[in-house]
Amino acid sequence: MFLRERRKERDICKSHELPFELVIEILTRLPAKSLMRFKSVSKLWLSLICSQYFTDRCLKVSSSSLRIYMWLSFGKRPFKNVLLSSSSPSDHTTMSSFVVDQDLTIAAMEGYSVSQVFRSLMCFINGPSAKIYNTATRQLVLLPHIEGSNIIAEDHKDKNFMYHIGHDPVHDQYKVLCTVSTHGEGRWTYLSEHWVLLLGGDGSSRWRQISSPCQPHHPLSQRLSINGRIYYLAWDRFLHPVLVSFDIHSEEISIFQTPEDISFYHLTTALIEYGGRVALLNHIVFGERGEMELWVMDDPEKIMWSRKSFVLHPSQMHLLNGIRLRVQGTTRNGEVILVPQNTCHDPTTCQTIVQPQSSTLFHIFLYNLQNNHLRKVEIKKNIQPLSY
Amino acid sequence: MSKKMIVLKSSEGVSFVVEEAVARQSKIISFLVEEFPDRELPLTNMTSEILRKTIEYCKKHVVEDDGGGDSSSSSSGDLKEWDVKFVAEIDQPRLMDLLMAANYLDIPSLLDVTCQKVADTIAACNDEKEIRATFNIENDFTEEEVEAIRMENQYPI
Repeated sequence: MFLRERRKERDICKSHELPFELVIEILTRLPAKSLMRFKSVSKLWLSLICSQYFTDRCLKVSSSSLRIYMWLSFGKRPFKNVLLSSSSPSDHTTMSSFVVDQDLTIAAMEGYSVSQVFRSLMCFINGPSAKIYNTATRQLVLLPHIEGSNIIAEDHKDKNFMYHIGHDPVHDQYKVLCTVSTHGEGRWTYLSEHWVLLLGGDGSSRWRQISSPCQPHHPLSQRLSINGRIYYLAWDRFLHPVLVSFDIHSEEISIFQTPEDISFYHLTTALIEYGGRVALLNHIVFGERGEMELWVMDDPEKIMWSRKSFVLHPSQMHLLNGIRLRVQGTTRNGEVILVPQNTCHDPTTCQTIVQPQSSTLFHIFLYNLQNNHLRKVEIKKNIQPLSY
Repeated sequence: MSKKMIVLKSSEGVSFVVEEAVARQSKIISFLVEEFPDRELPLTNMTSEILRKTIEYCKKHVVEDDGGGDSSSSSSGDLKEWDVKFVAEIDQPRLMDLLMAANYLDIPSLLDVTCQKVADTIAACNDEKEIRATFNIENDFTEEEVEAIRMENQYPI
C-alpha cells in the first residue's frame, strides 16, 4: 500500500490508496539514482521499479526530451575521460543552448570510449571488450566474451569488433549485435562473423553466432538503429561501400548496394534517418560551400535511392566559416546534428592544429533539412568543480 | 457577451460558480458540460477544500479566448514559478488529495506538477525508512530480503 490515510475525520477522496498508475507516474519522475536506492521501500515499489513496464516508461519519459551527452578525452594515453549530460528537458525547437549539468563519469569507463548511444543506453568499447551503460540507472555492465569464434581464436592481425545495440519491437527486447571482422588471406578479402547477445534478465545470456550467407565485409563506424533494424556501412571485398541491414527480430542479415552516383568518402558520408527512412548524407563541402547531398532509400526491396540536394541560404553561411564538421545523427524532429571538429589541417606545414578557442567553448549546429535552416546551439556547463 | 458560468458541487454540497473555460481544463468536466448543459455538476468525491484548490489552479492556467493577441494570461516562466509556489504551500496529505483530484478530473498539467512535487519529496528522503515514514508505507520485507536487494547486481536493463 502506498498511502494510508492518517486523517480519518477528514476523508476527501473515496479511495485512499493511490492507484497503481499514479504510483508509476510518481516513480518515473524520480532520478534513476534514487530509484535504485528505494527498491527496498516495499514489495510493491520493488516490483514496480524492476518491471519491464516501468523500464519502458522510464525510457519513454527520458526520450520525450532532448538530451545531450558530451564525451571528453584529455591528455595523452591513457586519456582522462569525462561523460557529461544535460539533465533538464529542453524545448529543442527554439533553444539556443544546452546546459550540461550532470557528470555521469564512473571509474569503470576508464580505457573505454563511447561507440553508440541508443535511447538511454550507451555502448562503450575497448578493443574486443564492450560495456553497456544505462544512463537512467547509471549501471555499467561488462558484456561477456565471445566464445567459439574462429576469427578470435585464429592468429589474425587487425581484428575489428563492431558492437551495436538495437531493439526488437516484436518481443520488446534489447539485443547487441557484434560483427567481428578481419583481413583474409588475399589482399582485399575479408572474413566476418556475426554474434548476438540478448540483454536483460539475470545476466546469464551468452553470445550466439548468426549463420548468414551474406558476403564477408568490414564494418565502418557509421551505423543507425531504426524500424527494428540495425544498419551499418561496410566495405565489401571489392572495396565498394555497402549497406548492411540486420533485422533485430528475425536476425536476418541483408546487404544493399549504395547509390552508384554517390562520391563516397567514409569520413564525410553519414548514415542518418530521414523521414523514418535510411539515408546517406554527403557533407564533404558543407563547411566551405554550405552544400549537402542526401540519398534516401525509398524501397529496400528494389534498392531504390532518391537523391536530394540542399544548399544553405547565403545569409547563414557566416555561421559555418569554412569549419570542418562531423555528422552525429539526427534529433527527434529530424534536424541533423553537426559537431565542429576542433582540428584543422595546415596544408603548408602538413600539421594538424588544435584550435585553442574551440577546445574550451563548445557548440553544435542543428540543420533542419525541411526548411533549410541552420542553428548554432551553445553548450554551457553548470557543474562544479570542473577543472577544464 | 458575458462568460458562460457553470456550477460545481463538492462532497459537502457547497456550490462553486466557475467560468466554463476555467472548468473545461478538466477533460471530465468538459465532457460532462457537453452531455449535461445547464446542470449543476456534483463532484461527490471531492471536498470543498480540494475543489477550491483545483479551481484556483485552473483559474491561473486558463487560456483566455477573448480575441486578444496574447492568448495566455501569464507567461510560461511566471506560470512555472507560480506552480512551484502553489504546490510548495500545500501540506503532504492535501497534496496527495490534490494529485488524486487531478487524476480523477483528468487535468494533465495539474497531475504533472503534483506528481513532480511528490517525486521531489521522495528524492529528498535519505533512505527507505524516511520514505516509509513520510508516506506511511508498511515495510513488508524481511531483513534478509532487504539485504538481498542491496547486494544484487542487476543487468542494466
